Amino acid sequence: MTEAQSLNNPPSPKPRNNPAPRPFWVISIAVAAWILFIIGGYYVGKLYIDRSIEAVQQTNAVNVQAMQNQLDSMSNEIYQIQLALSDADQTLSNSGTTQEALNQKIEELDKQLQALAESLAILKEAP
Amino acid sequence: MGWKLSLVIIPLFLLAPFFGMAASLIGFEQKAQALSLPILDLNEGVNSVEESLSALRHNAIIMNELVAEQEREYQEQQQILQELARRSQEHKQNSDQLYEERILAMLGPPVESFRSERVEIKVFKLDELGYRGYIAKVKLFDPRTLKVVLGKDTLGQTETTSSAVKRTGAVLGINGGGFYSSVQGGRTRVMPLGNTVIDGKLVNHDFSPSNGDVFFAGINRDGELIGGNFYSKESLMSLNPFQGVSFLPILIKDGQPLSVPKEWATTKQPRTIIGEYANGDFIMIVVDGRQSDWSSGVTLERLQIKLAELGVKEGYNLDGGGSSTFVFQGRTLNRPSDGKQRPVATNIVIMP
Repeated sequence: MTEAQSLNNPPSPKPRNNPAPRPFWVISIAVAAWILFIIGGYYVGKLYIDRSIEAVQQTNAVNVQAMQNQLDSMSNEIYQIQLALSDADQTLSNSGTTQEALNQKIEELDKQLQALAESLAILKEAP
Repeated sequence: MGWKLSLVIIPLFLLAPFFGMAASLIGFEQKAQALSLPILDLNEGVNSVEESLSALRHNAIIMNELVAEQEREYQEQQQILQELARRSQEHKQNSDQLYEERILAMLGPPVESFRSERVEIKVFKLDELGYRGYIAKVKLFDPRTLKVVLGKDTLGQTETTSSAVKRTGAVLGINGGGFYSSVQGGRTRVMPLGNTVIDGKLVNHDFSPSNGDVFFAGINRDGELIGGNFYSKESLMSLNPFQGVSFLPILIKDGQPLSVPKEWATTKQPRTIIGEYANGDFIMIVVDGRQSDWSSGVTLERLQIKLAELGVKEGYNLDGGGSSTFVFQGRTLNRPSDGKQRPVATNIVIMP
């Protein structure tokens, strides 16, 4: 067939099977699904991570609370010790004062006993 | 066939990153627990500290109780000591009172008395076989009440005991130490014998060592009787004399009678004596003499016996004879042998 023949005899149109809409819709659906997966995955992941962190936070909060209780208990113990030591210090201070007073009483008694001994010695010399 | 295969492969391809992400999140929860605070690890330490604190508190309480117990014991001991001191004081007062009663029983009832915050004086009559006189028992609460005064407060001058008592405002006065006349520059001065101390100072300026039996007798600043023979100024001043005069002899020392010169021992004369009881009270005695119808005087030997009977611990013979004078509250109680008071170089007075 010559060129002229081909020009004069245009090719008969091929039967149209219409394949074009399929890839478009497939691609569109795939992209939409992909976006939905991204969004869904984001939320699922975020929810999972948030829950995990919340669980850790709760655990920490419980532990911190327990620790706080223990520290309060220790603080109370220290306060009680402080009170007991303060009482002991006060009592020791009083004891020191009492011991000084006791020593003074001993000295006074010693002097009085000496005076009594002298007085009795004098009485021996009575007429 | 190829189309169907692409329906499987393409989604798998697209979902591959999510599978990777999902895979990476597997076990994240357990791993996240690693972020929790290692409180449990601290618990042991905290518990240990808490136990230690509890034990410490327990020990502090025990220590407090022990200290409190010790404090109670101290207080109990203090009360016991206080009670002992009180009883000791009572016994001493009883002993002192008993001694005082014994002295007073020997002296008899007082005929005169005087008491102030500074001094207590009780005057007794002395009426023995052959001699009479007066005794003053003097309790000094303030040593400054006993004073030695020069005649007219001037060395070389004389003054009667009554005059000295009146001039000084004293309650009691007796004549003091011996004296002698000295002519200096045509003037006759009456000088105290031996050493005389007034207000802690020697009035003779120069110390006179004891000559023979001449003694110094007086009081120190504590009101205690001091006396004896002194051969150096240091030995006298070491006793811290406050007031004192000199004469002879010493009659009784430490409760024991001393030997007296023979010429003094057996002659009856008017006498003036100063002495001290064991409790520190002073005794001043004036015995009249040379008056046969009243009192012929007393020998020193007899006086020693009398002093011993009275319980006198120390006794010193002061100037006697016509000098012996006893003045109480302005009245001359004794009878001076000259019929009147003799002016003397020194007098001993007791201020109110």
